[in-house]
Amino acid sequence: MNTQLTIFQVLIILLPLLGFVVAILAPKQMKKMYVVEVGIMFISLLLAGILFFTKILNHSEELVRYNFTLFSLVLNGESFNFLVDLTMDNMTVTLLFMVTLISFLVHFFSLEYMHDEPLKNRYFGYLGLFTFSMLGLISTGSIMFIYIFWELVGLSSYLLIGFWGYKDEAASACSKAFITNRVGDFGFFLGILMLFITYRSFDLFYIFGEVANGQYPYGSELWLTITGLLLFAGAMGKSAQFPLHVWLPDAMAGPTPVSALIHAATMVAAGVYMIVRLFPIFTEGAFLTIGLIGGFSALMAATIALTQLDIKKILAYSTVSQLGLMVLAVGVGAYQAAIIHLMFHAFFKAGLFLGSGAIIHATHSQDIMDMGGLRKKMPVTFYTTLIYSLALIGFPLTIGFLSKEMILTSSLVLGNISGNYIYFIFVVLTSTLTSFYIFRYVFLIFFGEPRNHHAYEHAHDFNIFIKLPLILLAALCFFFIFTFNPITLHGSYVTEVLFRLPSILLPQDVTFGFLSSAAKETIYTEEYMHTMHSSELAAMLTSATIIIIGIGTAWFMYMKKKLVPKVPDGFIGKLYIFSQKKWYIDELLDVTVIKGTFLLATVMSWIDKNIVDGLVNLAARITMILGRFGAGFDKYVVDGLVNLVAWINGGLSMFVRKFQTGKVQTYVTLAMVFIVIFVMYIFSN
Amino acid sequence: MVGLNHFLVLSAVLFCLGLFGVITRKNAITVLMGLEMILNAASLNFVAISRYVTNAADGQVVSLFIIVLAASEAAIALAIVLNLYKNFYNVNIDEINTLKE
Amino acid sequence: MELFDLFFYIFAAIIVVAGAVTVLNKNLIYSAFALLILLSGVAVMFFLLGAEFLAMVQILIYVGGIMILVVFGIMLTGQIKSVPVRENFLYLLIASVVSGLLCGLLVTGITSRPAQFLTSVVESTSLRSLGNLLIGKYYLIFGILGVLLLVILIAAAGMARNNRE
Repeated sequence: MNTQLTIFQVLIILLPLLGFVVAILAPKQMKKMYVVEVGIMFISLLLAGILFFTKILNHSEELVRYNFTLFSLVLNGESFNFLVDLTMDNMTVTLLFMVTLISFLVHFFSLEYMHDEPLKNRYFGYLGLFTFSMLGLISTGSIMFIYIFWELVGLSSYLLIGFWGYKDEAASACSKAFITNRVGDFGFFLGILMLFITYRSFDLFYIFGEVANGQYPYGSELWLTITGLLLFAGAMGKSAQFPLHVWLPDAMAGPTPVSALIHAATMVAAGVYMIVRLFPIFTEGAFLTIGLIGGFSALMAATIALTQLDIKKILAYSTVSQLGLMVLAVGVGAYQAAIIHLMFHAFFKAGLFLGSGAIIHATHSQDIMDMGGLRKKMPVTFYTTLIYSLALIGFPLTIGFLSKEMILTSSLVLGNISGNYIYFIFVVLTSTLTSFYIFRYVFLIFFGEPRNHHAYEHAHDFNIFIKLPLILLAALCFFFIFTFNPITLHGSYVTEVLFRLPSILLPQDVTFGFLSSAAKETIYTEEYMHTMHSSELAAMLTSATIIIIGIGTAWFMYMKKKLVPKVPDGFIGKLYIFSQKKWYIDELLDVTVIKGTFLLATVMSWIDKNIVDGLVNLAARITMILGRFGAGFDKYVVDGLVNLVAWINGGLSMFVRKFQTGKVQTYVTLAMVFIVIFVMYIFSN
Repeated sequence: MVGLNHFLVLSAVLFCLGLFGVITRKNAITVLMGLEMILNAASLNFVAISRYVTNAADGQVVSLFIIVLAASEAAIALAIVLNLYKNFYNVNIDEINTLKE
Repeated sequence: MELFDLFFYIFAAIIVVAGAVTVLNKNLIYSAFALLILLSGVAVMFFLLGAEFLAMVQILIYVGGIMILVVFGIMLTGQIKSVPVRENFLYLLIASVVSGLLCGLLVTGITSRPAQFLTSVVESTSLRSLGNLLIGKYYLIFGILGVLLLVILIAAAGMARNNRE
C-alpha cells in the first residue's frame, strides 16, 4: 500500500512538470496547447485529493518514505550514498492538496485574465514548472532536495515575475527577487553544509534523531543555534522577512494570477514550511531571533501598507506582515499555529489577489485613486473580497479567526510564562493595523464616489473563469470545513491529525519554557498547556477589541469623513511619507549594498586591468628582453663560435698554405726534417 | 788507422753539405751543384763499403752508374735552366713561380 | 800514421772545405771551381780506395764533362758576380739545423759500429773484374743506361734548340 501512495505522490509531483514540457515545447502553430497543461493540472489536483483522503482516513499514523540511491561516493574511507528521498506524512499530503488546489484555481482564473496575452503557452508552462517545484519541495525529507527544489522555485518565480520582460519594472523586479533570494540561500546552504559536516547525512529525520540524542555540531549548543539561524536565513529570503523583504512588493510587476499563486499562497510559504519542518533543530537562541525578526517584519510591513496607493502593493505588504506573524508563531514555539495560518492565509490571500486581478482587469488600473464605488458594478468581487478581508483580520466564524487566535494565544502564553511580552505586543499592534489597512482597501475601492469615471463606466464582473475561483476560495474561508468548533481548533482534526510533529524528535535535555520532551501527548510542558487554557479567553477578548478598533477607525476615516488618500500636514505627514516610501529601505540598500557591490566590482576591475594585465604585460616585456638576449646570444656567441671555427680554419689553412711554396727546396727541407725525426726515433729505441 | 768509418763519416759530411746547398741556394745552377755533391757522397759510400766489406767491385760498378746518371741528369737540368732563362730572364728559383698560382 | 791515413786526412779536409765553399759562396764561379776541386778530391779518394778506373772515369766525366756544362750554364745565364743567397734567417737556421742534425745522426750511427780495418793490403781491383761485373751481373742496368743516355741525348738536344722556326 505504501508503494501505491508513493506512486501517487510521484505522479502528483511530476504531472505539472509534464505540463511544463508540453507547453514549452509546443510548436508555434499549436496555440491551444496550454489547455492541455490546465487539464494536466486538474488531473494532478484530483490525484492529490484522492491521496489526501486515502492517507488521512486510512494511514494517518504512518510516515511513508521511499528513497533510492542516485550515486555513492567514498569520503575519507566511509561510503556515502546520495539518496533521492520521498517522504509523506500528514502535513505533506495536506499541503500537496492545498498547493494543487490553489494552482489549479489560478490556472483557471488565468484562462480569462491572460486571454489577450500572445505567449500563453509559455505562461502556463512556467506555471506548471512552478507547481512542480513547489510540490517537490514539500514532498522530500532530504534537506538537500529541499534546497534543490527551493532553487527551482526561485527560478520559476524569476521566470514568472519577469514574464512581461519588456517592461523595465518587471525586468528589474525579477532580478531583484532572484538576487535577494540568493542572499538568503547562501545562508541556507551554509546551514546545510553545517548539518552535513556534523551528521554526514541529508536525511532530516535522521538528523532530528541525532540532535535528540544530544549530538550537536562541534559539540556545542552555540553551533546548533548558528546552524539554525543560517537555515532561517533561507526562510528570510523566501518568505520576505526584514531585511530581505524588498523583493516582494516589486514582484507585483508580474501578472496578478502569478502574484496570487506565488506571493500569497505558495512560494512565500516555502520558507515558513521549511522552518516548521526543521522545528526540532532550533535552540532557544534561534527561537528568540526568529520570533523577533518575524514580529518586526510583521509590524513594519503593516505600517507601510497603511499608506500605499497601489492596490497590489497593499496586498504585498499585507503578505509580508502575515508571513511575519507565521514566523513569529514558530519563534514562540507554536509551530502548529504557524503552519495552519499558512494554509488558511493561502486561501484568503490568494482570493484577495485574484479579486484585485478582477478589479485591475475591469478598470485597467492599479491605482486606488482610480477606483471608488465599485460595489454596484462588481458585486461578486465585492462580496468575496469582503469575506477575504474579514478572514484576514480574524473575524469570528472565519478561518482567519481560528489561526489568528492560535497565534495570539501562544504569544500571550509565552509572555505569561517568561514575562517577555514583546511578541504579544507585536501581534496586537500588527493585527490592529491589519484590520485598519484592509478595510481602508475595501472602503476606498468599493464605497464612496468613483474617482475615475471612465474606469467606473467600464467596470463589470466577468465570466465564470473569474467568478468560480473567487467563490470557491470564499467558501473555504468559513470555519465549518475545518472544525465543528467555531471558537478554537483544539481537538480538531486539523491540529491533531494534519499538523503534528512526533514527540520523539525533540532534543532530550531541553526546556525552552514551552518545549519538553518529557510530555507524552504533546511536546509542550505541563506549565505551557496550563497557561494556554487560561490565556485563551484573554486572547479572544483582545482579538475582538482589535477588530472593532480597526474597522471602526477605517469606517470613520473613509466612510464618515470621506477622506481621500493624501499627505496630511505636520508631523503625521512626515510619518505618512516615511511609511509610504517603504521606510526608505530600498534607498538604504541601494546606497550600501548595491553601491558597495559596484564599488567592489570597480576595484576588482581596476585590479584586473592594471595588476593582472600589468603582470601579463610584464611577462611580455620580460619575454621580449629575454628574446633580445637570445638574439644577441645567437648573434654574438653562436655565430661567434662559428666565425671562430672559420677563423681558426682560415688561420690554419693560411699557415699550412705556406708549406705549399711550390719550391722543391722547401719540400726537400721538410722531407729531411721528417727523416731526421724518424732517424732520431729509431736511434732512441 | 783509417778504417771504413772514416770514409763513411766523410761521405756523410759531404752528403749533409750537399743537402744544405740544395736547401739553401737560390740559383738553380747552385742547386744543381749541391745535388752533384750528394751524388758524389753516395758513390764514395758505395766504393768504400765495397772495398772494406767485400772484396768484389760491385760498389765501383754502382758508382759508375751513378756517374752516368749524374751526367745525364746534369745535361737535362742545364737544358731546362737555359730554357727557363730564355723565358724568365732570371734563374732565381724564388721568382720562377708562375706555376704556383 | 801511415801514408794512407795522411793522404786520407789531407784530401778529406780538401773535400770538406771545397764543399763548404761550394754551398756558401756568393760568387758562382768560385762555387763552380770549388766543386771542381771537390770532385777531384773525391777522385783521389777513389784512388785511395783502389778504384783507379773509377777515379779516372770520375775525372773524365764529372770534371771534364759536367763541370764544363755547369760553367757553360753559368756563362749563358749571366749571373756571375753576385748570386743572391738566401737571407731569410729562419730558413737558414732550419736548414742548418736539419743538416747538422742529420750529419750528427749519421755520424753517430756510423761510429756506433765497430771500426773496420783492412785485413791485409789488397791490391787494387782489376779492370777485368769490373768489366766482368758490368757485362755479367749488372748487364740489365748497363743496357738500360745505354738507352737512357740515348734518350737524354735526344731530349737535351731537343730542349736546347732554338724554337723560333
